[in-house]
Amino acid sequence: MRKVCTLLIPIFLLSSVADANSNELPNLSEEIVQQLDQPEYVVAQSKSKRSSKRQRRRRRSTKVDLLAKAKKLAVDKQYEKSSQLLFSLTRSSKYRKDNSQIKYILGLMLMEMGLYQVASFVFYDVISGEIRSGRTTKYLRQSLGKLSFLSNALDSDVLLKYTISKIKVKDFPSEKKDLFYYRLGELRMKEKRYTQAAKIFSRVDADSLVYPKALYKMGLAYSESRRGGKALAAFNELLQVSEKKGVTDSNRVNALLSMARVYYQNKKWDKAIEYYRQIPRDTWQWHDSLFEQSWAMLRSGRYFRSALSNFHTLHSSYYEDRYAPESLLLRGMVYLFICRYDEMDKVLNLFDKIYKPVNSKLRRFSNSASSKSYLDEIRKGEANYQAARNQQEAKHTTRLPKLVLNEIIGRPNIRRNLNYLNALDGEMARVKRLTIEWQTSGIGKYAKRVIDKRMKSTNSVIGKQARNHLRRIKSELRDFFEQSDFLKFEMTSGKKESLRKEIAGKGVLKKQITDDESRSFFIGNGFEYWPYQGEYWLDELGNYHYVGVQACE
Amino acid sequence: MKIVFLVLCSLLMSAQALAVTIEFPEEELARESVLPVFENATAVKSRLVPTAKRFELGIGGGFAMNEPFFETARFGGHVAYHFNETHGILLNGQLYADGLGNNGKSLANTDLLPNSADTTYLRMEFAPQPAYHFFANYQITPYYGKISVFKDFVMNLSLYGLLGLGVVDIGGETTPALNIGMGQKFYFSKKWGIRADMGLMAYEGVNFFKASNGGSSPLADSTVAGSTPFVASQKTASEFERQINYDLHLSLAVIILL
Repeated sequence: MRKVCTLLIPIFLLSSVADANSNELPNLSEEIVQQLDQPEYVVAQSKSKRSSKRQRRRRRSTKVDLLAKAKKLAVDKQYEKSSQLLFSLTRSSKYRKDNSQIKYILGLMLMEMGLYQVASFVFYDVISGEIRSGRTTKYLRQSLGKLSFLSNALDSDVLLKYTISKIKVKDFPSEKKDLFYYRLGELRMKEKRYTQAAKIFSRVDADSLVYPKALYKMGLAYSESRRGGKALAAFNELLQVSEKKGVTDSNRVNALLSMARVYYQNKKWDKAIEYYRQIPRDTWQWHDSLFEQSWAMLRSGRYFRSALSNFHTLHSSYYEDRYAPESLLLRGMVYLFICRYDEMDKVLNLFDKIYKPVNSKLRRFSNSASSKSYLDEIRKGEANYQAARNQQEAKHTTRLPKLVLNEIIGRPNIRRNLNYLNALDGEMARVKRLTIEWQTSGIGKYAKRVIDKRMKSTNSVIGKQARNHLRRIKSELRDFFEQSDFLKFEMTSGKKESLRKEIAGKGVLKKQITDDESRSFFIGNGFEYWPYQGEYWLDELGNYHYVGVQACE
Repeated sequence: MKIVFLVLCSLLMSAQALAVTIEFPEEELARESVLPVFENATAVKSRLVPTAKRFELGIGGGFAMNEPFFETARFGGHVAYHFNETHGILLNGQLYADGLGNNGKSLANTDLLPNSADTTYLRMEFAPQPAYHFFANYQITPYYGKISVFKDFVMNLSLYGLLGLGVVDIGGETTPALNIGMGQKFYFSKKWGIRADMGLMAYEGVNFFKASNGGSSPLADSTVAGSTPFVASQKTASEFERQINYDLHLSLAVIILL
């Protein structure tokens, strides 16, 4: 009779728990109930051979009481108490055989409490325990499923990737096989085994939610292995599947940008320009596409005027906080090609004016910075960046220039870790809001330890990544200054040559013919003419047109 | 849809430049009117006419649109200080042209009882006349834009609203007043431009048709039996019944930004 009751209570409570979590979490309550669908006597019976009937009954009864009590607390939404009890059971030798089940439920409790990082460690523990023991029970699959969910929620797939590297595909929950292939493909990408990675990505089913991501990564993998045709096919497929999701759908835009890059890689300049032009203006990728498009225009040797039009947008005040030394040099290079030496001089001076102080600050910093300084700078830069997002004044003074800090904190690996760190901060705050009893219990201490260790380790990773980025920027700047010097030399030679021709009466004959004529413009129907007078308007970005012409043959 | 042609040619019309007709490729012309995305997008950067932390001086004139008796012309000036591009404070004052307007003159010379042996005139020339007003206004400028007047001439402009408290002088007596208004500035350069204001002023004015004690108007010059003999002297505002008057006015001023 008692067993019947324990089964009925959770079913009664199931609906309310499920509703509470249906929006973002997997249906944890159902899972909790499923655990109760496995009456403990089954486990207890397996032990009966080793003990006397009386001992067995006593042990079973104690065991049923504690585990069932923990489950009952779980279903009653008393997650704190349940997690405390479950954690103590994981330490008990009596429950060694049920360890996976107990830990799995403990993970569910922690998820319900919003402690995702701690929960992911518990699930990871279940998985490694199962792998160690050579068993593949349902808890392995279920824990993998939960770990996948938590990896996405935390934007940190360290544990999942590590796990994936240790298990076989058959161990992964069948409904999450695609996710397995996707993560495995990522792993191979990281190992620079691109062909293998592309093959693994191709196994992801077209109906899967990760299919667009897998197509994108597959295209990248092919692109890295210099198989442009296959890369284009993958990106084109991504374009097709994303077409209905809207013009600015990030998968669609990424597909277009990637196709442009593949064409660029293969020196198909016109095709590359065609795809770059399709990037919608109201997407984050547009700025990069404009810069890359300008490169393609320069490389094609035919669209100098169009490239200069792009530069006016790229070098507008809207992008003054962007680290973009290359685009300034590129602009100078285009002016050199069309013999606009005065303009070139201005651009190179601007380059010096912006990047010489940046370079010296960078050098000063790297000469004296300790490993902790890198992290401090990044955290200050991030605080300032977030303040600027909220239209507030900068909160900290930094030793590194703002545009360098913005560049570094915008790098995907740093950004991802900073987001992860924020999630950990939030989780620690949630822990501190729980009862003192929970905080001082075994699970409380464990949770704090886990979060604390993850924070320390992530901080250390961010510091190292920042140092690497700074080294890269330093080395890049050194190259750019060399190129700038080279351009200055070319500019002087060009000026000299131009003067020589002028004195000889060559090359400037047209001056006398057209001196008094003004330039006329063809303006299509439906367009208005607005001369540029020094201020930048948001709705004008991307609509600037350079109307100077080549000054030399 | 709007397209902006970058006129760097003014810089580049060097001796070597060729006069050519540039036809922009169709694919380079704007096809959509969406805006680039930014974290905190502002409509304009590197404003040609920044006003934040700048003083503005102005001098100009205007007229009252609903003044029934007196001359409507007004002349004055203002000083403004802009705390930032949006908020500011404006102190303005105007002197009113002296004398009666056409209606006032006409009223003064018209017998109000034309079909009777008795006569009644309202001697408006002795009425207390509003002489000046002065206001301290809060000024909000929510809009800054530009307008292309000719192909080669672009003018910046801004729209603003005003809300202020002040005083109006009526025949030597000052009375509190409230001002609400809006206006537009057109800038010819970073330093100077013009501004056009339209405002509605509410103040405790006088009712020329009634005395402060509820009797007939102190301006009434009547031969009707029992009426008070008219004394030909300048009347003061306190002799009249007080009432809330509304004054709708337009003004134009030349401004200089310091």
